[in-house]
Amino acid sequence: MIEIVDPRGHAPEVAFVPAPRAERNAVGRIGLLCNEASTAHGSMQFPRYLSILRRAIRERLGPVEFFAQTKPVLTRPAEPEQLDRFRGWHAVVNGLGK
Amino acid sequence: MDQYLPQHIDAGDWPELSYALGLTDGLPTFAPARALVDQLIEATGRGARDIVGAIPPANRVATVEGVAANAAMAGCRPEYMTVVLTALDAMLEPRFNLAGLVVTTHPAWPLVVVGGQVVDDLAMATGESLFSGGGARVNTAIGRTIKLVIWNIGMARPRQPVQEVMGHPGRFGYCIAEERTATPWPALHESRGVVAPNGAVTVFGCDAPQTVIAVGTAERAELMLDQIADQMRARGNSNTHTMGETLVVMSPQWARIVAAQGFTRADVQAFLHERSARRLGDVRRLADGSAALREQDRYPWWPESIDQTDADASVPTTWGPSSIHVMVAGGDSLTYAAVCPGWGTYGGFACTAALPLVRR
Repeated sequence: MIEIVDPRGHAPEVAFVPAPRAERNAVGRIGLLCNEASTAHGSMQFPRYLSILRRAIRERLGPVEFFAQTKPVLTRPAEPEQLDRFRGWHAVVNGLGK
Repeated sequence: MDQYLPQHIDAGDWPELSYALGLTDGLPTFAPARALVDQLIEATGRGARDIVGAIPPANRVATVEGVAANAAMAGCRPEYMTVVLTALDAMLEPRFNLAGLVVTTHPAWPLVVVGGQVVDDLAMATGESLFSGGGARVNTAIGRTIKLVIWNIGMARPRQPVQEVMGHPGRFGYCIAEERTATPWPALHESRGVVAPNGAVTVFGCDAPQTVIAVGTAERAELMLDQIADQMRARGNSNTHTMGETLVVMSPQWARIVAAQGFTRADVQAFLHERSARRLGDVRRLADGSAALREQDRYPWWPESIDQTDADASVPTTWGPSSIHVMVAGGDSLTYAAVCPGWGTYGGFACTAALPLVRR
């Protein structure tokens, strides 16, 4: 018999806690932080995807105003200045891409 | 929740157990036996519970013991541990964007380049079969440890969440060492301004090597370098569209010929930067083959100095000459070079760290 050491490391000490589910008509302004712009070299389906997402959110939450921003580089975290533009909005949907 | 891993096993049970629990990517591993892991930890001069960092994408915490367990699985000897930990330190620099590099659709992976005194100390391979370990346990074990740390602690598994479309053979292990003597130029880390008496590690996120041969160049330096530049500017390379950084590896013979004709490393970088540039209209095209110059075609990551409405604008493949990392290694028999395109503007940028002055 040999003693072995677990190679899997340890889970992060702070667990991810999702925000509580919003009630209908309680959320009026939602930001969309996109990984890519709706341009010719982006995914042809992305504008349609955003449209469907907006519709689905409105069906669940009621009238909602949207504010979309595109990260300059999709793989890097958004800069603080860009995140500041969402200040005061009720929620932000992050990581939107094809 | 992790699957249960018994603390004590029969040694012969490890291979099947490791596969059953998904503790390897498919290649066999050694059992991370406590006695060996403790030796590896001791060689670091650090405590078993010292934290190395959070390894993406799962961001589970890697302690020195956790890294040592993976090093044991990869076949590391204690003296390799300093290089392993230095490489991990370098790739956990935020600008390296390890999280993005590991899960991206693009087939890039952190290449570990070892240079300086430690190459001799560990008898690392620098010659033939450079990118496949050179027949040296040390090269393979170091590259393999990085892979297993990201696999087991980072939990980077295909589709869960790694989205890499084509894959990369270097994901089994991607570690090379620089030629120490048969080279006309200082070590890579020195050219990057890092003083490292014991040697240094440079990590760079890049594609698999693309071979360049010097046939048809009459051993004239400009033509040989132009051959490399031609490889760098392939239309389908990420760099061609998003710039960033590139690694160029020259065989010792190639480097000596170029140096003998008056080229310093800086000259080589400047030449490659200029010659690898491409006409915008050839880089970005519409369906009919004409230049894509509309507002919606703009690449926001290109610098303002490039007029994106001009089909004849010259577009470099890297941010600048110093973004082309030039090093010497490989068999010293023929004029071969390799181009390893980077991950463009997205991350994997070269990070260099000196080995500690006091050997761990």
